[in-house]
Amino acid sequence: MIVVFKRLRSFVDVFFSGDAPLPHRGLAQLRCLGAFVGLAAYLLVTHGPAAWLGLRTIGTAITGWGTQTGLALQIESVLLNSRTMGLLGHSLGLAALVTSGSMLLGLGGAVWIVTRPNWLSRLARKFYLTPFIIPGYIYALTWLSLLSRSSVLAPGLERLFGRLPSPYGLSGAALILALAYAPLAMLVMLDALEASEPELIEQALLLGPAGRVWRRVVLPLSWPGAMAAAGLIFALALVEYGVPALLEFNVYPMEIYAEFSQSGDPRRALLLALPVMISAAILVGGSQWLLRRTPLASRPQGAALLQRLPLPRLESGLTWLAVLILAVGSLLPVLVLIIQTGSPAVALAAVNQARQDLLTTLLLASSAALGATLLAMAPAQRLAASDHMPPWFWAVLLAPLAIPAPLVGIGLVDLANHLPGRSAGVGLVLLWAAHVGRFAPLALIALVAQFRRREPLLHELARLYPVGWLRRFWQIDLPLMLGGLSTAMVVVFVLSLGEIGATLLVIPPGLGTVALRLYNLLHYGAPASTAGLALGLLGIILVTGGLWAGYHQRGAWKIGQSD
Amino acid sequence: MSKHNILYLASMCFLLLSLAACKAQAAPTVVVYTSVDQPYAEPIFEAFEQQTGIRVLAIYDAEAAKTTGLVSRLSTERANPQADVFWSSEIAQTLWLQDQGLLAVYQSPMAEGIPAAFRDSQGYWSGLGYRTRVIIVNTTRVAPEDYPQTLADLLDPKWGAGEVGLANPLFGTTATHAAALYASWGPQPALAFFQQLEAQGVRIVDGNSVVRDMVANGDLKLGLTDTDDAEAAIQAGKPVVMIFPDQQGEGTLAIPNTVALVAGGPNPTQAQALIDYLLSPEVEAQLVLDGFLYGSLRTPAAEGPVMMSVDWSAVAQQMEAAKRDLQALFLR
Repeated sequence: MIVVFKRLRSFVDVFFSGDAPLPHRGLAQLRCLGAFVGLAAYLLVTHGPAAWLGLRTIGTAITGWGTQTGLALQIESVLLNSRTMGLLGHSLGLAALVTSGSMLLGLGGAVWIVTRPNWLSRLARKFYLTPFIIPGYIYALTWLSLLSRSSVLAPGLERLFGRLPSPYGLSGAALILALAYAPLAMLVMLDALEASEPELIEQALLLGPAGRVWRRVVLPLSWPGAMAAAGLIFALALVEYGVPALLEFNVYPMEIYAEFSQSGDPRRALLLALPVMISAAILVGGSQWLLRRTPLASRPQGAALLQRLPLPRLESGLTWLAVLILAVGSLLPVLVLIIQTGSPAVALAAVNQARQDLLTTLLLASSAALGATLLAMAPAQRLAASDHMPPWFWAVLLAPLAIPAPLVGIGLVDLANHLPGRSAGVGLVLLWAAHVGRFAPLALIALVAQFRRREPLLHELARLYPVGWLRRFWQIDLPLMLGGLSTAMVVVFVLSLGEIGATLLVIPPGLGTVALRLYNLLHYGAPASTAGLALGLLGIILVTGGLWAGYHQRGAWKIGQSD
Repeated sequence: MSKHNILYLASMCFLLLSLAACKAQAAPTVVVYTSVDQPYAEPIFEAFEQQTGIRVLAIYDAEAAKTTGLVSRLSTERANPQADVFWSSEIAQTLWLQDQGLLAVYQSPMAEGIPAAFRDSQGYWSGLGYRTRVIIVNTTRVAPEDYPQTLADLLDPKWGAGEVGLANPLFGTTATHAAALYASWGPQPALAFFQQLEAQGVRIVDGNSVVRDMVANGDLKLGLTDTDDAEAAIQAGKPVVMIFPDQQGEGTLAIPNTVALVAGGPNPTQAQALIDYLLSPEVEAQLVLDGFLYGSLRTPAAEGPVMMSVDWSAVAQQMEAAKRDLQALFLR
């Protein structure tokens, strides 16, 4: 007990003060209060829905599970049977394959970009995230239509392979998800590689050829970054169900849906979700903890040196292969959407018909981006300020990534139904809270990464600026943070555009989002309208991303250029 | 753009979203949850709005969420209902909601002409037109003499593994069909049918529309789906044909749309107006014309398909057992 208490106390000290000593007492108390309120708000919004369901489950366990059976029997009937365990095995296997595939592709793509300082790699650097922002179900459906017997590619593929390669089952689901998550792996690996210490590489070059430097120095240095990306992708793949369902591969999250549809009891759904939630939370938290000091923790330093570090022929060939696969994987679905749309008029008509949903979607995504980013700021600043936050704290903060989306919606609706009275505005708050709660952990990761790239010297200099704290925050601290804030906001904005799982359960009557409309159109069987609307959505995302990138390149947020 | 504009912009978005919602609440409203495809339901609601001045706030179901969508939502909102009307594209979930005490009685005068078999005797729900279960066949991959004529023909060994498709039988009309077979044939023969389908390598896909698309694309030779899905493929000129099974025997399953009043909904008067409107012969005729419904419950076509005789309460009773069996059989 004493050891636990001491550790807890040391954690509290580190959390509230960072690694730096506390300044004078008044400011320290104010900062403590701010950090505490910020952390509490973050935990409330991100964990609230699942925690509420958990409390209800514990409550019923104490009072007896309704008129049926006790908690132990519920656990036994829901969790402990061979079929459930088999499905968990399916999900773990799929997640492992997806992680391996996306990491190999991401690593290959990242190495290709950092070793080739030409216009093609600069272009790739601008657009490599595109596939990640296409909703997964659209991505899977375009591949399915490409590999169907009636597609234009079918005759050629049949001549090549003897018969059409089937996209269904474990291999198809793994391949398509690996392609979808590869850009995420690439994002982290690019940062990891470019953050390599140039001194280490230069010293290694004195002792051996470039190939050996890559294998023995550069890649091992990026290992923590790779582990962080792998943990995140594994967790995301573990709770994924839409794409595996489309590709006829039964996974564990599907069982959660089936259970809830049969029993209508959110507590049983929560019990069933616990194994994936716990394992994914440990993986995400652990892997991001690994990232605490390395790659993203420092400013890019080794980029220029890596451009001059030639790859051996075999490795170079492999990076070209990865880039080729990524390029085909990114461009073909877009091409299919363009072909299916047929003409710009169809796309415009589809967008026009959905204009109200489009407006709601954009407003929702923007406000969710703002909310999630602001909510993640306090814990992100604490995490960025200290290398000594324990792994369990990372796991707690990032655990919401492992909560299946419908559970977030069910928890929020259930919670709202237990509040006295309910006005129309509550529906909007629920919708907003669902999006913010789901994506605030990703905003947190983006913010931590960006905060750790800030130049400590600038902050030290800012402390010497002889003005009040508010003015200093407005004129120096905020501009220094805006790069990170905008990155986090764009991440949440893009993911919010495609959210369905929680939205469906909490969307207020009379409102709709583009993602929901797209799914309805898919069911209706209107491929041209679906493709047109998907293209419209993709266009909006690309324009948003382009504006963000352009804004960053202009350096408008640098101190001195801002107002 | 100044450095703070992005923050102002995002704040304004939230404000606008709130204002839009407040505006939406100003007119008399009715809240409807519907699993009918949005492209069919939306024009009906617009016409109702024009006729009555009552604003319809609709929530549509999505294939992604299956039955965890609207029915789950109604269930979780039990203590504080937000919906007034539930318009389902099938019947089993409506019966489940009735069983759970989530529906209220309303004897609509517009339900008068609807046969007793398709409306609840106490007034908890009324039928609105029907769709039927059909076998959809790809005409380029199956010769006319091989077209299946009965459900039992799906078990013919001439169909290889992965050539016959079925939507996930835990959800939607496929779940209702399975429960109807449990009620009609008895649990053991019905389970044996599905076991044999599974043993022959039936493809369990993500929905009836996916069965349609895969048959239309030639990825499957045939599959079970609904009339509206099959009609959509035929209208699109796909090489498919639609077959009503068991026309020499018990007939095919006709599944009515159902309309019900939600217990404790916030706008009961407007809800009754909408239910009356939805159950009107004009709306039923419009939905038949649009291709969503296969036929009218009031005036069955003289040369229409032979329908199964169904006791819906028996179907509702079999639903849970059928789902448990099929979950164990197919989801593993």
